[in-house]
Order: sequence, then C-alpha cells, then structure tokens
Amino acid sequence: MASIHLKNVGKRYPDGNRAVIDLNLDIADGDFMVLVGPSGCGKTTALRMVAGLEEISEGEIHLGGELINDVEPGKRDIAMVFQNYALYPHMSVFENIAFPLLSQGVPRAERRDRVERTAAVLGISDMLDRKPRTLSGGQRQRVAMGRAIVREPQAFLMDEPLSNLDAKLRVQMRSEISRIQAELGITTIYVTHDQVEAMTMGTRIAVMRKGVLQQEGSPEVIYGQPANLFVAAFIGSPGMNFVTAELSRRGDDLVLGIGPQELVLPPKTLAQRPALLEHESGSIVIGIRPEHLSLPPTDNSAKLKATVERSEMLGAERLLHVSISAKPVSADEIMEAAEEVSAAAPAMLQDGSKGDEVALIARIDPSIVPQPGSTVELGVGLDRLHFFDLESGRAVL
Amino acid sequence: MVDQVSGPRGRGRSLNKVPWLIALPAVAALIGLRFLPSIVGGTFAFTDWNGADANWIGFDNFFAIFRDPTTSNALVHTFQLAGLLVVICNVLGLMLAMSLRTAFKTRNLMRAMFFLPFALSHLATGYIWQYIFQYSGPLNRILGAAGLESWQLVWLADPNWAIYTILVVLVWQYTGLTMVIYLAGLEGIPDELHDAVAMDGASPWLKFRKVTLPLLAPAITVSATLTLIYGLGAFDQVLSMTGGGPVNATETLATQVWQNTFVYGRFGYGSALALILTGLVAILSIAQVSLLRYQETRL
Repeated sequence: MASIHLKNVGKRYPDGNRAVIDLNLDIADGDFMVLVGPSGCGKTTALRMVAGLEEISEGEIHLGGELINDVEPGKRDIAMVFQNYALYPHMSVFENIAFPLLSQGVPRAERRDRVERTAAVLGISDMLDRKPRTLSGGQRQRVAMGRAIVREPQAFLMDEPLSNLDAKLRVQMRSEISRIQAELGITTIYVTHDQVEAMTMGTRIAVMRKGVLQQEGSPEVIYGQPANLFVAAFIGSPGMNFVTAELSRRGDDLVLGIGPQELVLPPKTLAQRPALLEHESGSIVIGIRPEHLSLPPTDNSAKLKATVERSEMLGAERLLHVSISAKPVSADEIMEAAEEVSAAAPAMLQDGSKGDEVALIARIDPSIVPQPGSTVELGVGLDRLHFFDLESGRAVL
Repeated sequence: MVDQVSGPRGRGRSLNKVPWLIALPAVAALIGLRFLPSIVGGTFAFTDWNGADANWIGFDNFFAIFRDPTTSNALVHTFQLAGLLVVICNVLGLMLAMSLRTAFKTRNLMRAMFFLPFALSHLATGYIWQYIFQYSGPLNRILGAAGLESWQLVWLADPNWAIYTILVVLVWQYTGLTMVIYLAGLEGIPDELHDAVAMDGASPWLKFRKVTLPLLAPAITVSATLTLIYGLGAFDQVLSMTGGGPVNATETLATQVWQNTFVYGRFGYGSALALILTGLVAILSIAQVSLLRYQETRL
C-alpha cells in the first residue's frame, strides 16, 4: 500500500496533441480515487502513465515516495484491471491468476496457496479449471480482479472495468469492487466515464476534461460545490438545470430576475458568496439541481411558476419536465463560455431550451401527478442555488 | 394476410438462387478443367500408357514404384526437404515476424523484401541460384575474396551438399510467406494482452513461451501445413538447379513424376507416382492439421 503523487504530469504526442496537461494529483494511501470525464478527456492516458504503459512527456509520478517515471511497468508493483479484462484466453482461471506470481518467480506451492485464497475471496473457487471463454462477463471480471489482487500490490489501477457488463451486474460489481478495495485497503485509481460509478465508488473524484483536471475532491464536494459549469453539468443524473438570470439589488436584497419572475435571495447568500457583488446589475448563470425544485413548494422556499411538459415515473421518484419563461443558457455567449469549460455542456444546456423557454427537470414525489399543460408552482431551494460566471463558466463563490 | 407472408418468402427463395447462378460458371470450369482431368489422369496410373497404347495393368505400376530404388531415394529426399523446410522456415519466419513487428523506419520495406522471393517465379529464381552456386559462381568468389577458400564447394555437384543447397533456396523462397502468416497472427493478439503481460512483469522468454506462442497456434497450423505442402511438392527449384542430380542425389517425388512422364514417356508410371505424391501430401497435411488443431484446443 502506498500513496501516489502526480506532479505536473503531461502527455504530448509527436503530432503535438496534448492528451494530459499539467496534472497534479495527491492520492493518499488507501484512497479510492476515481478519474471521471467524457471520452478523450485524458483519464485513461493518465492511468496508463501511472501504470508505465505510456511514456510520460513531462512531470513526475511518485509511488510511495519513490520516483517511478523510468521504472518498467512490471517492476512498479502496481496491478491493473483492464476494460476488456485482458485474460489470457488459452490459460485456465487458475493459470491466469497465477501468472503474475509465475512472473515473479513465486514457488509453485505458494502460488497454489495464494491463488486459492484469492479465488475464495472472489467466490470463484469452483471455476479455477475453466477457460475464460466459458465464463460470463461478471465471472471474467472477478478473474481479472483476482489476477490483480493475488500480487498484493502497492496500488490497483482500473480502466473502466465495468463498462462491458449489463446494468444490473454493473451495480452488483460496483459494490463488490468497493468492498474488496475497502477490505484490502489498497490505494486505487479507477477510471470511468460514468459519473454514477464515480459518485458511488470513489472516496475522492477527479473530474477531467480535454486533458485538464477540472476539480478534485470528495463526491460530496464535487456534487455540492462544482467548480465550474462543466463539473456541474457532468456530475449528477439528471443533470443540473441551468438558466440565465439578471442579478440586481433592491434595497438590501439581491434579486434574481428569471424571465418575468423574481427570486429574492436571502442575505446569507451574499455572505456565503461575496463574489456575487461583482455580477450585480448583470447576467449570471444559475444552476439548480432537480432535487432542489420541489412540488408542492415547502413553506420557506421561493416559488417559480412553470408549465408542465411531461413526467417520468421512476418508481421511487418522478421526474417532472417543466418549462419556464426565461432567457435560455443556450445564448451564444454562454455557449462559448461553456465550450471553454466543457464540450458536453453546450449540448446539455441547449437540450430543451428554445426561444425564451427554458426546460427544467424537478425530482418530485411519485404520488404527485401533474397534468401536462398545467401550471404549477415549484419551490426553489435558494440556499442550494449554484452561480456561474457568464464569461468564464467558473463558479461564483 | 397469406399473400403478405408468402410474398417475401417467395422473393427470398428466388434470391437464394442468384449466388449459385453467379458461381455456376466458375464451379463448372473448376470441375471441368481441374478436378475431372485429375481424376481421369489418375486412372492412367492403372495402365501402361506410353503415349500411344494404354492397357489396363492393375496395380503393376505401384508395385514397380516400390521396387525402384530411385523412387525410394526420391521419397527420402522429399521427406528430408519437407521436414527441414517446415522446421527452418517456421522458426525463421516467426523470428522475422517478431523482429519486424516492432516499429522502425524501414519496417514495411523490410517486410516487402523478405516476402518478395515468394512472389517471384520459382523456376526463374532457381536458375539464378544455380548460377550463384556454380563452382566459379559469385558465392565461391565471395568466399575466396574473404579468405575462406576452404569453404568453397561444388555446391550443386556434390552429392552430399546438393540437397542442402536446394534447401537453402527453398527456405529463402518460403520464409517470407511464413513471416507474413506469423505477422498476421501477432497482429491478432490484442494490445491489452501485451499490456497485461507487461503489468504482470513477465520476462521476454516467459512472455514468448506462455503467451505469444500459444496464441499463435492457429498461425502455426496454417504456416506449418503450407510449408509441408510446398516441401513435399518441391519441383521448380530442383529442376532448375540440379535436375535431380548429381547421381539422383536431389531427386524428389515431384521430379520423378516429371522425369518418368515427360522424359521417359512412361505416362502410366508417372501417373501412379503423381497419385502417390498426392495421397502423401493429403495424408500428411491432414494428419498435421489434425495434430496442430488438437494442440490448439488444448491451449
């Protein structure tokens, strides 16, 4: 077990393309760090650089305090679980799990003992003689885990290991991997594009985009205090609602003009986010998580009138799609700002916003069934609003 | 409702005939020009046809073949060439493939150069090699210039060396083919497996023995079978370099077929020899494929 430190790590290809730019990460001993981001964000490249499978163009990687930039992959004492499991198809499950030990010259008797113990932990003791092709996706996944665990390495690297499993198995394996990691206490870097996986598994999350680290922190921080529009848009399902608002002062109060409607911000909002003053008498992007729009509104919440479009019954909750009259965030200036922050954000912002209508999603009680076309009053948790700068897309704090 | 169901089904049936109709001329030509003459030719093996008269003599040609010491000699040479060709070509081909898989600037040029001998006329290159191996030819001149006079031999006229000289040319000719087959096999091994081996910390030898070689099993089957077939049927190179000599030292079954049929005019005898050669190639190839496939399933 060891800590991993990435210091100004970069990856530049011969064609000049930069896959990872100035990446700094401190992963403490025993941490479960999830690198999350859309395709091409550089997360897998970063992982492969830690593994030693990809050359580091700049920066330093330390494992347990040792600089490992020039150490061969097999000598880094790091085990990796691959996206397609990378099991040796001609070897039995036993031989697959034992192969790293064979490579290390571990004696036969000890190999057998360690493989059997690992198989027992993973519940695959009865399939040690089988070939990978006779196993299901979930079983192969366990064998791949076994091959990593049996080495008792200083760190685990996992490259989207659940992406080939069906949804149900993925949920099961998610908790299985978390359980094993917690039991073994081995420092882990886990790469995924699935933000749900990131939120549910990671003790820490690093959100990446276009090779640049956007934000790093605990799942609670990443979800509750997104550093910019990209993180806000990328993390959460359904995603955060965005709307352009005019910020003005009326007496001692700050007022948000959302189309023809107004929300008066409580005084503590300004105390919490003094930078809001810089946006006074100007436009600002506000972000509202679906669960912070309520129906019916709670007594102390602000209210926002909206027209019901449709609803989706999910069993334990209902997603209510509504529209409000407001300035969409799909305006050119915010699209450009969002593009600077995220490739995904413009599409997400644009979705459902037409003309002066803005689409919002509220997470409500499933027993409430509003009729499409009807007007409802949604409660807005003002203390849970997020504010983003229109120009830079960065959170206003 | 019935019409709707039968409509597409009817169209499907008529459509299925189209591929057969398209293939028919080629299939007919193949049967008429390739298989039928071979079968008819095979029947001459049971006659004493000498180009004019043909009488049915049963298995007499086969009995004569097994009594003929020249044929026994040819059979030994054929096995010798085929066996050594299979081993040397496949070992060299695999080594070349592994070397030329790594990325370097002239990789594609090198691949093309090694494959080129297979694409050239075997007969024409055989005559060039005959010139190279002459006592006064370029090879001996180079050896002489290098101060290796003691190494100078009458390569093609020495009964002990002639067969191995031909083997060198066969290896030169077919190693490029095995290289291409192994390159394709190596390309078929997923990159993730190479990464996994690297992460597992396996030594290059362990990686080769435990991962690369077993995963190349299908390529080994194809390559070994092809080189066996080429080795058993070696003809062009022998004919152009030694003509079976000296003193029958390089006679193979294929050159015996040619000699008996077209030099001595013993068409019946030649057909019987050809039939034996065909049977030998078929039996050994099938046996080898079966053995290697069995090995593949065990892997």
